[in-house]
Amino acid sequence: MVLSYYSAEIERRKVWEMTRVREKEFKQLLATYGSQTDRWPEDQREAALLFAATESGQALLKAEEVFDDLLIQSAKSEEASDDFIRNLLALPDQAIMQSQNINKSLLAWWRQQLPELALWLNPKMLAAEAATLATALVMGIWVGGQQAIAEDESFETDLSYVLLSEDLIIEDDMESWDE
Amino acid sequence: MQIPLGQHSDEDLMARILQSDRAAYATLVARHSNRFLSLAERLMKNRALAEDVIQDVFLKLWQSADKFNPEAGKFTTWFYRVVSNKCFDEKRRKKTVALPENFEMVDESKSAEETIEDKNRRKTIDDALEMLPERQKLALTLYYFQELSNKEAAEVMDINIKALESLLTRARATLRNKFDGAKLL
Repeated sequence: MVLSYYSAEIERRKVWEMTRVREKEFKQLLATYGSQTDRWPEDQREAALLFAATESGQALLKAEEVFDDLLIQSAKSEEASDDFIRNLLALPDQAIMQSQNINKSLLAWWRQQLPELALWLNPKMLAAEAATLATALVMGIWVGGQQAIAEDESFETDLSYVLLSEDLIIEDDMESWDE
Repeated sequence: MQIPLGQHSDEDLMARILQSDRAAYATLVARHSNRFLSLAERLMKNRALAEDVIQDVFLKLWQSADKFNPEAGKFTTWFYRVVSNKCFDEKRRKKTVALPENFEMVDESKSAEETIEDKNRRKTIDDALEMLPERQKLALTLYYFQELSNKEAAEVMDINIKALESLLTRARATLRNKFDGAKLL
């Protein structure tokens, strides 16, 4: 009889310890995740729901619900207006215009930074310069070509004597120089 | 048979946006603009500033869609992080300006029938939320108001679940103390 009493007491303590651990874990779960049972992490939900069904679990859950209800009262966000959505949808066009503006700004910056160069970068001036350069090139090639032809005639040399003679008399050449 | 864009995943839509597909971009805007505007408004505590933030991030999304790496995670996780980082940057950048005396704040109450008691209660709650450290506020906003799972919220904040749980516990404890002090509980 004494033994059965102690066995029952040990069992009762075990259950109490397990309940205390579960209660401690349950309180921690509520403190972290709140009272919405469907939002509890999956790995803890089943055990937590078992404890939530107990009397003390219910009391703890109800107290946490009061706190969560207060939290929900903080400003709820309205849905985006049609104008706002339209603005968002127009952003790709804005992006294209932005990059075009950047290119225009860069060109304007160069024109500002280098005024003399900007003068020469004027389209009319550029066309005039290109025409001048082209004319100079053509003239140069033509004149150069004319000179090359003239020089070619004056320096025409008959090498056939050298190539065809069997021997080249050096002494004769030296004598002619002495003259 | 072509699948309607509405049935494409966010990641597929991002791949199309990379090819300058405006219809894919429009689908993404329709699908997610409310959710991210809501987050920005909670973090910025100002509707106009929140709209500015969302416009900036969606513009960046169009211009730099290549920044999203689908192998690193979901689009929503990535974009939550982009939006929250942008909000924090904007808040740090903004200078506080002293209000003139007798300046009355615009009443942003949603309902004309709201009682003064309700307004005061809501103001106390909003003030308490605003006083939280940024990371606690973000954790609470992501998990509680944006209804992300603990895993998703941790990924957005680039922390592990234990760290998220710690932030949530501290945020709730701080708020509970404030609500107790204001005799709301």
